[in-house]
Amino acid sequence: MAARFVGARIKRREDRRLITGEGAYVADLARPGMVHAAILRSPYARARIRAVDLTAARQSPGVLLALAFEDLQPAGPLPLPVPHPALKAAQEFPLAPGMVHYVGEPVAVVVAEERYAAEDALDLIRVEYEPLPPVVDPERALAADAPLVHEELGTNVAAHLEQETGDVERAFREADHVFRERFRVLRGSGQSIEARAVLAAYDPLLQALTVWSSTQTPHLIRRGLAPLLNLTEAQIRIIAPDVGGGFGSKGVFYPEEFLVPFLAIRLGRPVKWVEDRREHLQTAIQERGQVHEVEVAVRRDGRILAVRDRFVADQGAYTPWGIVVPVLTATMVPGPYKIPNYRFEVTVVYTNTVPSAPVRGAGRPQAVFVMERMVDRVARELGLDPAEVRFRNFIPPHEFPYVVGLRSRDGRLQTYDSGNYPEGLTRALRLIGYEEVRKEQERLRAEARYLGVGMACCVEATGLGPHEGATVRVDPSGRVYLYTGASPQGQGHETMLAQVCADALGVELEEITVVTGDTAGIPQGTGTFASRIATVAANAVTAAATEVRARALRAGAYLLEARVEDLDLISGRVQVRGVPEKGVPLGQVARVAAGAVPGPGSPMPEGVETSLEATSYFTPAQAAYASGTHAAVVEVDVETGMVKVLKYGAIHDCGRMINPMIVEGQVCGGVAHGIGNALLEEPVYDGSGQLLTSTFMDYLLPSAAEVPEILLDHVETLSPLNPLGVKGAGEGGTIPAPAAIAAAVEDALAPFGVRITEVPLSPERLRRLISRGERAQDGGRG
Amino acid sequence: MRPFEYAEPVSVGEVCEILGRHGEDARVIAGGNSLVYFLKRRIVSPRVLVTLQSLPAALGTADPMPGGGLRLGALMTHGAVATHPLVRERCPQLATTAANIGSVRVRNSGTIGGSLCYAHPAIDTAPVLITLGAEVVIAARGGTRTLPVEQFFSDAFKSVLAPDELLTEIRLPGHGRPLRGSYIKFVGQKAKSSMAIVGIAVAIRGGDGAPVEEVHIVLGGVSPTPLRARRAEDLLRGKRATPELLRQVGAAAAAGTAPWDDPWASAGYKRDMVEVLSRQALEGLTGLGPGYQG
Repeated sequence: MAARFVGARIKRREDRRLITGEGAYVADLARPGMVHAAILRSPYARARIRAVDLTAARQSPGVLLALAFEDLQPAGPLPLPVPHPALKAAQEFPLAPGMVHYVGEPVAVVVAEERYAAEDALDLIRVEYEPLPPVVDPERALAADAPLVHEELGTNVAAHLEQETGDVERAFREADHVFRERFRVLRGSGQSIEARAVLAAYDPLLQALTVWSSTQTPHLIRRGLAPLLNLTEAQIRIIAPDVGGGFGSKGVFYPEEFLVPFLAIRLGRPVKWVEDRREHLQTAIQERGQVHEVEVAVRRDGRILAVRDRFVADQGAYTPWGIVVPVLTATMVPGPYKIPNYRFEVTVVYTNTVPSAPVRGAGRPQAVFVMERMVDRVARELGLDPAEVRFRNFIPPHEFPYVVGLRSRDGRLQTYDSGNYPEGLTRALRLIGYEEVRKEQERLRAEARYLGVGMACCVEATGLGPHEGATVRVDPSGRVYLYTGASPQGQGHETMLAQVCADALGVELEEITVVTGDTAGIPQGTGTFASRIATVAANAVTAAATEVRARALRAGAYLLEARVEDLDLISGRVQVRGVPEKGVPLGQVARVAAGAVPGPGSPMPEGVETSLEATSYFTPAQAAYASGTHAAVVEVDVETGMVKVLKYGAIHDCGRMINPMIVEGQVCGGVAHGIGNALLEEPVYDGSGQLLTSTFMDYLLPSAAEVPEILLDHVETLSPLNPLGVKGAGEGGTIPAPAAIAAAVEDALAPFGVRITEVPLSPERLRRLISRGERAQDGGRG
Repeated sequence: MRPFEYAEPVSVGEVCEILGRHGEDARVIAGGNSLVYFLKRRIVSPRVLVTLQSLPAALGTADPMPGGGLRLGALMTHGAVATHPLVRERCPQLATTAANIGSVRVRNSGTIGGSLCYAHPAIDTAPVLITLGAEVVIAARGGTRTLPVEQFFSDAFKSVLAPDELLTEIRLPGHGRPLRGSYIKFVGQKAKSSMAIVGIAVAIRGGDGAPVEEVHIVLGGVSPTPLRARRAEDLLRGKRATPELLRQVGAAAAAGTAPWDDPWASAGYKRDMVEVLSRQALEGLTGLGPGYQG
């Protein structure tokens, strides 16, 4: 059938509710008899807990319960959903057992009638700490005399991985040039408007636990919670109501996911905990921190023959998502380029800082930064245009599927399904007017104004498994209900999945209600992360809706006394092809399938299956590889070090766009996040592991005023891996942005010989680089 | 936030009486932009919160004073200061400064008096007011007193107000020939609505082709209280501005500062920005350059 809704720019149906304040977030919810939890967190990055005295806290007015680790027994450790054979995992407990490993780690919890009473009681808890020297810097953590984050592991190395494809040694021997560079990418975080929150209520009569959690992964929370609480999964219902942003930082099983339900069961009263911003900045997972030593071997024409990358990845105190971030970085360094010889070696190290886990981009911004900065280096050293070096090294469009030669994160041979990288770069350069900008740059340099252009290309593994499902059910009223385990945090799932369903089933968009984020809605789910929903969930919707359509036609055949082959389902009516007046509405068909016609006691009509519904799970065999190219034009004020982004062009290829408006929203939001990573966002720890950026006055985010207008264009290379031909769109906006901005800044400051090898670029760091460049020039003249 | 009593007095006298009765246990709330954060963080936990929202309307208006001066009620919001025709006419740099404080929401609730009493080291209005020779009027149970704004601050986040005193009014003197001035709010890479990293208020008389007769340079964000750059002023006063002289003035302004490190700007960077931006501000006022082009 022709697509009516897939591909259309349809306004997001959830926006009216969300924008007018009608959304319901966990903090908005209340249950009768509800009480409030507050958490005492470690003020030290590394310390032994000698004693916790809860006596005074327990006597504080309004306090119902005050607990430390010993009071939880048996409880923990927290689940490790993503194991890896190379990973030496440290156990993480809901409350610190005798040692604290980062500032903000939960030590005790208080429940009181009111939130303020619980907070009052926190002040009365006496914890006797023995502060120990922490290790904050990941490279320092590798030193022989470095303090151990987890003494029981006997090392700070969480994992060491190596892989090689081709013959790297030989390529380096035979190359015309070898360039070497050291890069640092500093940490960043995911700052959703809504912080985390959990509300739990246990019904002793039904022996059932209901948890409302501001999470990206309701089914994974259920999976983690059941064994910890000694309940069956059937006894637990997790609901993610409206969730105000996630960006990865709500994709983790945090201590509070266990603590709040545990307390609700223990007290027999609903318990709510709402994280405040300081807690979010202090304890929500972060990402990005890596130090790379990279070498490239090139031919004199700019062809890259080999890359050798050794890097250290800062894991923080625990591994809530295993080591997927460094693995993603390592395997995505080659990116869109045909590099026959590549070797990586990564050492993942524990530090006394907040645990690291995927934040929008998940390891790829680092990979792109490293590779793209090296491509720019090659261009500079060989006197070539940076665009030209890219064109010479791209995987040609006719070579797909392209086997990279590495094992990817899922253990399979990393194979790009489709793409057209030269087209992406061509369009990105056109968006910003590359040739004109170069002329303008020349002209302004004469006035001592410094304009620069930068570009960056990325490939991204999207739509990862194991599965996402959809149940499509037609109510006897005719209304279509679509249930999925893919819970949204603002991405527009309700609209996008309804579009897919409407086309596959043959109903109007308005006839569909999309129910997300409720484990009672569908037995299994994985969750929203890794740019996977448009690929995995939408194809499940297609399959389920197609099956429901077939069932509707068979039931319709009974009602209309027609042959199935002669029937069609259009706009919610099963009708005889070519004779639209001969038809029945879908609700009537659903009633037949429900057994309401002919009625109780009669046999089911022949050929009609019970219940007009179907559940389908899509299980992708491998990732679908999206790509993106960004081009930025910046001006740098060399007196203040301030960077102004004058123009920003973003090309994205996510295969078929189900809703281009939603894709564009995702790309723009992603670029804003990437600009934050490039210029602003940095969790700063001092030498003792104290977080110095625990308010938005200190942790800098791009506001609307700092985000330039983003010029957009799309390349659509359909993925052959799924029926809709889609790839993910959620993270591609973020991934190339730091590299593109860094390249533009370096280009602007070429007269000063400045090299950008680190992000974020604060004005102060830039000014230091500029004045170093000025001094070098003065020295040269002298 | 802990529970508190909430008092809603209707006169300045009543406010001072309540404050006198409760001393340090009472806190005055105007727009609440800083106090509410302090309450939530439990940095302060007053037993009595005294709202000023029912005080006479005059505390929220601007009125002309003889000789071209102005009186501003302490409860004028930043938004009102930014848009008031009298402020814009007689003191345009103050109007512009107020227009760049915080976000729209902050400007619509934050008051000029509240922000002075909060005494943040990087406060925007105070340096401008000091360059213009402004005074504050302070009410207490026994009567009122008047004080130059320059003497109002005692330390970071501290003013000279006694526990029973209330700031009621800001007075801007008239000038025979108005001072020409500007304020540079430098937020660096921070969001436009942030507090300044450094703030530079400059006001001069003369200087447009002639020697600079009078000069005031006051810096925010580089010492616990707004800092007058006296050595820099002395260098320029009575002289004709030249590029080289303004470079020296900028360097002198920076030399007198005592900034501290923040996660987003070190002390050294702040000092460098004072040097660059005070020079640029003076270049703008003396026609030697375009001024700060933020």
